[in-house]
Amino acid sequence: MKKLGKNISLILIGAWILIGLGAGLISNSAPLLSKDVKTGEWFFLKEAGNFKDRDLILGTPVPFGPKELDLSIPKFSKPGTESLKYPGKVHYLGTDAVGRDILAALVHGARFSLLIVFFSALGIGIIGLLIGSIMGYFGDHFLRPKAPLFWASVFWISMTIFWLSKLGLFTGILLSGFLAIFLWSLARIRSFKAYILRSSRVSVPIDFALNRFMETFEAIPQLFLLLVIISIMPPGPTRLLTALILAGWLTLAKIVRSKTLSFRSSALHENLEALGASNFKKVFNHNFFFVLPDLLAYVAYAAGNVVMLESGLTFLGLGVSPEQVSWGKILSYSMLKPDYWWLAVVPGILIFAVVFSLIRVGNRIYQKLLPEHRNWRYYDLA
Amino acid sequence: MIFSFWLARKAPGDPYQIRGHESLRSSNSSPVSNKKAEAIFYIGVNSWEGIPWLPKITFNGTNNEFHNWSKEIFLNGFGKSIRYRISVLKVLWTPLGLSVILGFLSISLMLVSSIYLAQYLALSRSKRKNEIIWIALDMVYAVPPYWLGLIFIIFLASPYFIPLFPYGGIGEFKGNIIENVIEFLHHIVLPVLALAIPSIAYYTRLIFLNLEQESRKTYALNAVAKGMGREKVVKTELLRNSVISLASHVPLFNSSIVGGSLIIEKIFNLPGMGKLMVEAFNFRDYPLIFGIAFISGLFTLLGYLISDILIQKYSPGSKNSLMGSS
Repeated sequence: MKKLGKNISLILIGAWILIGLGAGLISNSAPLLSKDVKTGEWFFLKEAGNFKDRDLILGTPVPFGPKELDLSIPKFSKPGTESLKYPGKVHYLGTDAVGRDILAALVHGARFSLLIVFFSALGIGIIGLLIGSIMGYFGDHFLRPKAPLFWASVFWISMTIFWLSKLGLFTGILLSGFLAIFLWSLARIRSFKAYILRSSRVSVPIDFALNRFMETFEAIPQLFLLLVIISIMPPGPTRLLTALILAGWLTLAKIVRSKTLSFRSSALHENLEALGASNFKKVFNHNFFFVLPDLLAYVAYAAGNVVMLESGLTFLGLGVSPEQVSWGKILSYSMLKPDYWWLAVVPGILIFAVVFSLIRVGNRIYQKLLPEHRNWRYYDLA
Repeated sequence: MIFSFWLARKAPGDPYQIRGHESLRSSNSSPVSNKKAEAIFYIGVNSWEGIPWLPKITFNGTNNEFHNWSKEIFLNGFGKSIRYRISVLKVLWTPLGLSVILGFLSISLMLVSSIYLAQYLALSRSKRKNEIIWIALDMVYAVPPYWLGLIFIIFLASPYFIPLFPYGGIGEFKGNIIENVIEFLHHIVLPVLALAIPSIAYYTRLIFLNLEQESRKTYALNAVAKGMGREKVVKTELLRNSVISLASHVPLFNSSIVGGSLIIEKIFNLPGMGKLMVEAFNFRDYPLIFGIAFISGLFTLLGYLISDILIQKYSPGSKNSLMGSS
């Protein structure tokens, strides 16, 4: 039992992943295996028009699909109602406002939240890693190009932005390519090259600039930012993913930045430079493995946060689309019918279990990957 | 300010389109649909007519939207809300008061309970009890706050607590003010609890870490050796020095005041800032959106100010400043 206590979060997450991936097999209106009565042919997950032709061998555990409207019984039925259209199929948790089975919605909601968490964790991880390591590695005085080159790059970037916004993607890229070739060939002309070589260097304050950029996002209250993003983008999964990623990458960038700074001043980095790894690309590999434990631990926390935020947004109706089933949607139904307590309790317990397990998994990742924290106590998490 | 102006206007649709066509005919002055100006800002960057790849920087003079709008704001207040037809300040006053009271009560509840909990954890000797409490706190952290509100409504609200409009009566401030206040408190107990409980874990952990760190310093040993009991040392000296890290979280509080309790307000049907914000965005109510953004920025600044003051007052002779650091 003691082992179970330590591993229960992993078990829960494993169950969540399995249910999410196998949602099509678990809850489907078509039976898993059915046999044609006349020809004896076996069918896998194929629905028959009328079930007299097929002999049901093995049905799915939850006999309904997520989008199937069961109009034969009154809306918002109680758990255990038998469907009148297909006798023998029972709604184990009742139906919702339009007749969809709640248990099927829970199973497919697991799949939906799994997808959302996967992609947003990926997005948060990538963006946070890139921006954080750029901020930490370059600092303020690392990048010191010659002054004319710097101003030429600024000019090129601003012209590219102008062209991309006014002239469309293809023309913009074409024109900016032309300008790049033009500027590059200009720099090779002998007199210009001599001027460039003579001029002094300018330090590009990457760290400072990116920090201010991050601060503008920080100053806005989180829900405000989410609402703004949701109101300016067309509805769909892109909108939800953008909102969730933008809500979560700030802290990760800070963590990665501080770890990269400590990596830069470490002995490993000096040795690498002595061995010839001089620019960002070569060092990034080693830096990546250095920041990886903190990054993974934070991504686990952020994933828990994403589940909460996503179900909150779906609860408010600002999710992917009105017919997408999700745990937050079932919670929103519970507001319409407050005396059906199972509509609120069951998805809530599931959300709570998933978020809690993700947080615990984050703790355990931190514990396992950093051997000096092996004697870790709960309060050691800074 | 520029950012909110630009971003709000990027949203598709016009406030008049959304309200239906009849309002277009009845409105005579529209600060928004100024057809004559593609002149939005002072300086516009467009392309020339014949040479599209060269930027043309026009100075649009003083008859552009941004200028007119800013002038109106600074001279006349925020203007009239498009949707409600009354001045923005009047629209904002009631929900802002409610949200501020809600936020203030929930934050104080959260801080007080987390301070007591952290003290208890720091002083208690049994490790088993400590671990159980930490696991319980982690569980509480994982509970979504809106779910807690839903559970409160379903299980506690039916006979006794009524999750409706919190004011007993609008504008009745004569005579039965005590009853008004009691009615109000009666209504907001549940939302405050639903807001405060999930954040307790985070602040408890923060304060506990600080207490542990401070307890390793020499002055703590000094105080105990001088004769103060352990409890007293924790409650006075160490707490004073953990105010610093708490104070850096004060700017985060403003988000729960202005817009963070959006979902709780929807559940408990309270007319607060969150609901107002969503409606303003949905109806493209530009003056109201700007008013909300301005107030939220104001609260952020206030938060930074308070945290600066607290840090300078309580830090042992250091010159840290929050606003200048990164």
